[in-house]
Amino acid sequence: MASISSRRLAKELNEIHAQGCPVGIELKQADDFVTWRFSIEVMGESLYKGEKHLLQFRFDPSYPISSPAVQFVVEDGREAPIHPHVYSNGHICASILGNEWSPVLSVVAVCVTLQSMLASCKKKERPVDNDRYVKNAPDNPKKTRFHYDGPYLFLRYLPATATRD
Amino acid sequence: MDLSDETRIKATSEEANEWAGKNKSPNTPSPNFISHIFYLTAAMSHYGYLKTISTYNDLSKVMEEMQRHLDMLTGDGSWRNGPRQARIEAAIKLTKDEITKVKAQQLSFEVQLLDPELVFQSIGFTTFLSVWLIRQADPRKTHPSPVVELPLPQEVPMSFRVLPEYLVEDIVDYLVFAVRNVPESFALSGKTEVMQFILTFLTSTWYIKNPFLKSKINDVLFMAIWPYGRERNGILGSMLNTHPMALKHLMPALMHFYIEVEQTGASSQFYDKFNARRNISFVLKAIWDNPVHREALNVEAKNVDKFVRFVNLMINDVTYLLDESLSELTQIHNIQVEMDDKATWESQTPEHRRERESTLRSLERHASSYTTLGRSTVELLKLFTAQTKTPFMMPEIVDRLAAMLDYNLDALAGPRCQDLKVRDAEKLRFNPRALLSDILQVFLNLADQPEFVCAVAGDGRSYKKELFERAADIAIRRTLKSVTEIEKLRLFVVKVEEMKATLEAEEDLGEVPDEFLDPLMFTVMRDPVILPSSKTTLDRSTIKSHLLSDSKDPFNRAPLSIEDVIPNTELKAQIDAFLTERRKNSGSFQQPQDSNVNIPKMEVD
Repeated sequence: MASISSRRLAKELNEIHAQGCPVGIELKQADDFVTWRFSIEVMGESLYKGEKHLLQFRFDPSYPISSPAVQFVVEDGREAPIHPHVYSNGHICASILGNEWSPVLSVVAVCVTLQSMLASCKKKERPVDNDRYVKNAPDNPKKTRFHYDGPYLFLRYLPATATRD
Repeated sequence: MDLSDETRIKATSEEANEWAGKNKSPNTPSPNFISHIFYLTAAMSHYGYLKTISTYNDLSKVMEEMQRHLDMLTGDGSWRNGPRQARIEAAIKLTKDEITKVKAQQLSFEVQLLDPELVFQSIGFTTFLSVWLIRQADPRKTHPSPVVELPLPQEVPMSFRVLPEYLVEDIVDYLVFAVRNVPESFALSGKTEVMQFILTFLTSTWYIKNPFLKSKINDVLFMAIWPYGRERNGILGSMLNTHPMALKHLMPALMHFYIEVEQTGASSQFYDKFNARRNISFVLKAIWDNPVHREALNVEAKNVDKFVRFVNLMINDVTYLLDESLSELTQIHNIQVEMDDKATWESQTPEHRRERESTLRSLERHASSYTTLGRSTVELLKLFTAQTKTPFMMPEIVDRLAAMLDYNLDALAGPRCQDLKVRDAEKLRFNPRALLSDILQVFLNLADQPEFVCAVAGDGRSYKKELFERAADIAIRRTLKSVTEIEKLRLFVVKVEEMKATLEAEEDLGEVPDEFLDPLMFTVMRDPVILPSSKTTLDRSTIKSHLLSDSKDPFNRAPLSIEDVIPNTELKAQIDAFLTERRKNSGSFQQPQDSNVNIPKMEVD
């Protein structure tokens, strides 16, 4: 049975199986239509020569209308590539994963974009706000743009009368 | 008074200067004494009284901050009898002394600010100012007799736009202060004016530019229904349910503002948005039992496009808030489990334990806001789906609604629900049973809608028959639902299962030509439309759901609105013919298939 997203994902998966992934990208896990994993490697000369990273996609039921949650896997000794747009918890700051997402993009297209993001990197460094971000980061990177401030002020106007009674 | 540097309600400084230049004439008589007094009082109140109120409000923030600092210092008390005891005790004492000082300041501010005579005069002036302001916007310039007609005209007069913004701000800030701190002072007078002010600017939000100000007007409304003393519905509660102006305009105003806060454009929009919507849902609940308001809602729901946007936002909010609160609760659960394992926990380094504890505290802080907000949005969904079902059945809505409900039902009643067990669930305002009961109620509300049955059947992600059985068991055990309701739920599942079988049969269409498939969803298009700029054909429901979050053509990012799409009638005819053909074939196929089943039996014989 198909949920909204699974038809599309099934189609993408068939294409990957039929045509294979672009060079340097390998499908590692796609047992369901919730989480997929790819290994990603920059080919040729780059700062990341010889490094292989694991990229994870999580899809919600409204994929591809809404973007997938994409991050590098940082568990079992794996680390996120050191890059000015990649946080040490694996979260990636890339506009195509946020407000520039378009349902025309596909999982493989995202892999290729991130691969070339690494390939064109000039200096290996973490984002300047890495420590602060990682400390408070939400589990799902898609929620990141909401987390500039704590949500504490919601209750700012709970009137004093509530306690006065 | 020099106003040239002041921000205007809805005009740039150039516009304001131009307007001032045009209207200046040497023959204008100087304003009379009463006008002088009026403008001077407004200015005095702006620079004096309201400034003091804002200083007073800042003190509460300082207080909160220090209280939090004190909690952090106290921690779990494990520092007692340790090497850091003396240092921490000294720090605690210091903070407590500071708190006492700030408390004293707060009290002295209150003595002045809450002086009954001053409050009485100020409410009088503030409501007068609000009436005057509405008259400036009223095209007949007669408000309050007769009262202004709402909503105001689309075109905002320049004479209103150039007024200094602080006039609105002062009214709002004072009302926030007075309604919150001395609600009983409105017993004598001012209620009607406050209501008129709120309704005028919430129905006609385009009269004010600053999104924060609009949000604050909404805040006043929320506080005006908050109970105080013996008044269970706040200062405005009963008026909102009886006054003809409220009966006519409150429901549209709330819906309008609920949608508008989606785009406030401010960097802090995220919680401003939820704060505003939470207030709206409180107000909605306060007026929900009133049939006149419900009728107003039915009228609103007839404006399908607008109402679907409203429903879409509500579903987005529930999805987001529940996902966020449930994932935070799971994390809290995990840390608590970690701490319970005393042996392993004690063997961790102190740094690690401190870090985990502080993570836990911050999770708890977030989680309680999210659970509260999530709960209130689900309640809203529950109320709305009981009252008006059609908008929820639109193709761009219903699948997402079903998937979201199934997903949350799975989280609350599925195999992973144990992960949500946390200590002090009340402290986190997390009430899983009530939430489950509300979600089941939404299912029950929509159970008789064929579109909804179809959408649940089509959700291959979270929907499982067993899930509903478990949920029904819990509901019976915890007496969340009556026997009749559970029966209705079971019936619904039977219908869903039937539909699922039909869908599966239909899905098996064999090879479908590529041009019949939606290029984004890869489902067979039922209503193919052409996008005017990219010339792509795709299903209407796909582009509709895309446009709910992004008003651009996904293929070339050109601006797009749903009115511009062109039905691809030729392709639709082809697809329809194809589907009829296939169905006919698979129908004829089914006969021999059925008889096939019997063949092995005969062989056994």
